[in-house]
Amino acid sequence: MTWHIDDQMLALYMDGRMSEVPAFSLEAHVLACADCRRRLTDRVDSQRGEQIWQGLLDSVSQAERRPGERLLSGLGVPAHVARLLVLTPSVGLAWVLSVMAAVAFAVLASQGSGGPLPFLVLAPLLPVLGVAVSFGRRIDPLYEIGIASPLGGFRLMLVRATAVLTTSIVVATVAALGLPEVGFSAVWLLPALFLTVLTLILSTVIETSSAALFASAIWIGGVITFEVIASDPYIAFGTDAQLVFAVLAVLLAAALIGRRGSFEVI
Amino acid sequence: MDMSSDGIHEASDQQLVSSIAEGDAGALRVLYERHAGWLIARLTRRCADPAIVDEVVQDTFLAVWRGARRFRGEGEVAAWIWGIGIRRLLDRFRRRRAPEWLAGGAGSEPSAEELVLLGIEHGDLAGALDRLSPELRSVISATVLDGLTTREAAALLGIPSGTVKSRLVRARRELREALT
Repeated sequence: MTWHIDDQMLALYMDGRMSEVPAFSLEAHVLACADCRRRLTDRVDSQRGEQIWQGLLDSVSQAERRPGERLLSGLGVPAHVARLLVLTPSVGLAWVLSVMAAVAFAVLASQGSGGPLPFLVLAPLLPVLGVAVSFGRRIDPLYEIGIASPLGGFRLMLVRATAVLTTSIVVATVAALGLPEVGFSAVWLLPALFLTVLTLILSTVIETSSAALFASAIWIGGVITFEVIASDPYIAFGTDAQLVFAVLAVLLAAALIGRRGSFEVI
Repeated sequence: MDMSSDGIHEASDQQLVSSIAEGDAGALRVLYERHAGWLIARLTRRCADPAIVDEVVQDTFLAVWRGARRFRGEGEVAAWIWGIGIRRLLDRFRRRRAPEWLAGGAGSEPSAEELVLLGIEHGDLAGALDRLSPELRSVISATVLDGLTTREAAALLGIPSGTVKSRLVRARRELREALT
């Protein structure tokens, strides 16, 4: 094309002094000619363009936030933590739904003559399974991001463990209302805490899924042992046992803090 | 497609759009550098409020980012971007029923120097367009130049669609008569 926009026309156009008909020509030409587009662009304040670009970046990332992330941010959770929580599998909807299904079966099984034992055994295992699903190498799609996260391995682990515990406790507490014998009593809460911390500290030595398996075995084995030795599986939920669980949970938590360095390179 | 940082600046607009469709934010940046400037300038001629222009430019490129898959691959990317931009601006005006729309250019009479510049190639057409009444010219501007549909032009100019159509017919007839 031989016809191009010259500086005089550009100046008139940019000042808003060009009348309609020449502006028609200029605008039609600009759509078709990359050179003239560039010369027009050169006359626009680049700082203004940069500001709009920053706003654009913000709205692009805003648009990509998931609904749960926006909700958490609204509750005052920092943006990077909110993203992490939403992307943690054990906080995902699928996970919560399967936990609810498992708990529902346990509640049903506890309606029988055996009492609330199925529920009481399962409830402390929920966060252990949650940890297994949301940590470790094999099942965690965020594993690489997790290590590279600005939060650092240990704090990242704490954020996720808190999320896992919270969802499990909420689900179990709601389910417990369906069992008159359990009701508001939280006898499963301390075992849950103990088993979670046990899984976490084991996961500094072996893979998380194995750690979860090991902790679950200890728990179920313990309840069976009480049944065999004392023919009373409920000993695990008695006052003495509660005290033991509390002490063990605190000791293991202290050990976990001592081993915090091992979370930086999982 | 994965482009090296050198290659991305050599890529055509069409290639950039298909990279954007695959989520390449670097391609969006390059496309923005090429097209944001003239879009700001052209929207400024239609809207005096720079804050609105800035929002519209941002909305336009957000729409490009999200809708890059809908670009058909042929045709001028600049025209596609303008089509999005002018409609975003139109949306703003519809929502606010704002009077900021600048229907015509600054002066109604073209300066002598402009006529000389245009005369090189457009000769009679420029004169013929100039002799149109402002009402007919604004309809030509909205439909032919800005690429709006009859209904969009009607919303923009605040007149019924039927009026847009009849003015278009009259404008075309006058132009044809002036050029033959």
